[in-house]
Amino acid sequence: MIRDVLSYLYVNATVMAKEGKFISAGRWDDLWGCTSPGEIASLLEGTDYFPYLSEAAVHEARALEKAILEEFSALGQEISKIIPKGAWPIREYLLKKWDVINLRTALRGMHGGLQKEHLMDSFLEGGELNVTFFKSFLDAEGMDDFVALLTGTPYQVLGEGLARYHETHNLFFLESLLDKVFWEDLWTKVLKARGIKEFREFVEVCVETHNLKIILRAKSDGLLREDIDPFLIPECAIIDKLLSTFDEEDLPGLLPLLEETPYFEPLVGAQHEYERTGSVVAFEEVLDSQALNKAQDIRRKKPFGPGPLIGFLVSKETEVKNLLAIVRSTEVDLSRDEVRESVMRKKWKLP
Amino acid sequence: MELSSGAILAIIGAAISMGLAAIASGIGVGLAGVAGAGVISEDPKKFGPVLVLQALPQTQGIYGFLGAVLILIGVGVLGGVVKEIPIGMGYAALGGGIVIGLSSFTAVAQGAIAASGMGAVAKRPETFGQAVVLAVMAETFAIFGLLIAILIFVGTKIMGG
Repeated sequence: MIRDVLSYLYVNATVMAKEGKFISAGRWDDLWGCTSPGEIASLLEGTDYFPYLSEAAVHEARALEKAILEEFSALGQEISKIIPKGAWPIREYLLKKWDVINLRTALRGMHGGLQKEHLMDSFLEGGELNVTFFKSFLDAEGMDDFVALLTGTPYQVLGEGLARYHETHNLFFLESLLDKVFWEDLWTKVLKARGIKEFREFVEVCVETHNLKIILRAKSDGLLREDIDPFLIPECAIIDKLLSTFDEEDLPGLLPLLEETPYFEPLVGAQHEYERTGSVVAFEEVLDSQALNKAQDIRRKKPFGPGPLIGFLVSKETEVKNLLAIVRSTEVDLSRDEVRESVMRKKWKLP
Repeated sequence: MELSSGAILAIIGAAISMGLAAIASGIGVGLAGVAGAGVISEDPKKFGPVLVLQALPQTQGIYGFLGAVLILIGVGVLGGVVKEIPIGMGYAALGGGIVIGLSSFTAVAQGAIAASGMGAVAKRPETFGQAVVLAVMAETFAIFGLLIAILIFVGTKIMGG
């Protein structure tokens, strides 16, 4: 027991000290009212983000976003160096996340026709694949070229989603495969690893919510069971019942099949919003918050083990996502209430 | 120099009192120190509160030292002339040393509490007082152990005999 406590003492104390530098509730209140990158940058003074702000970040939302992500990346690298050896899957989670973030950036850049110099500037250090690798994407002429460049990496399975991407011109399929590779790889590793029960519980929730999101979105879009199989992560018992009747039931008919799971009540609670808007985003948001709740739950139950570390990583990611949502809102001229609502709703997205 | 069996038992008691207390305090201070290093690496200004919290598990080591000194004075080792100690009194001194030594292991729990307290103080500096109070709670039982040992020493005339 003492060995377990001792191995996490340093990293837990460090992350708790870092939590002391989280953006305060009062400052969030001011941030919600910001209408320009300059205002946001001035409010970030005294936080860990401030040293990363360049001159351009004061004037340009893209530069400010990059500064925020650079801080987040540097933090991930710092934490990955002090994580106990036995908790290596948490280190993998931290490192691989940046590969996925960079690949997602590249996917979106290719899809949206972003200028190559902008795309080039968006890649960040921190993952297992280095930035030079991502720079090779700049030669890709289209999505097919881009996916072909991933051959030999764990992400080559993105090729399986190309046909449907071309058919629908919707990035959802490629991004879902990217998420699948990330979580499936991590899930396989945490199932084999010992001594990280709490992290396994957290990854399990993330895997379950990934699968549930795919199922609900597919049902909403009228897809068939065979269409979604490549996007689902196996070894996830919670979806067995849903898949067995997937083609027969409509979306509201699927929800009662989750009655014995922790997802049933939140999903039923979001059903009214789904019926009002016709968008599965309502379901996706409550599923996202389940992962956040799980991390906080682990934190409370395991204060001497990996709990504070897991809680910190998730809280930090939430802070970064919220901050990015505020920065992006300055580009689309949203009101204070709209920004606030957007931030509150996008509490948690991974990776 | 020929030592009586009672004196040998009493000296073993002194050794146990100091030895176990040193181990326990060392672990406790170590736990708190590791956490303290984590906090300071992030915020060197927190050195003051961290130092106070790290010092708390040291007190059990002081109790062990005190117990050992009391036994050694009672036996006459510190005076240079070792007394003839009846075997019963030797066992009593040994018991007192064991009580202090074992109750010193509260330092381990205290170190863990202090380590968590450092995290709490790093996150919210205003919780320093509460963190100290929580850590001091573990001290209570070490004090009880010391008191019982002193009562044994007084009652069996090792002290003041």
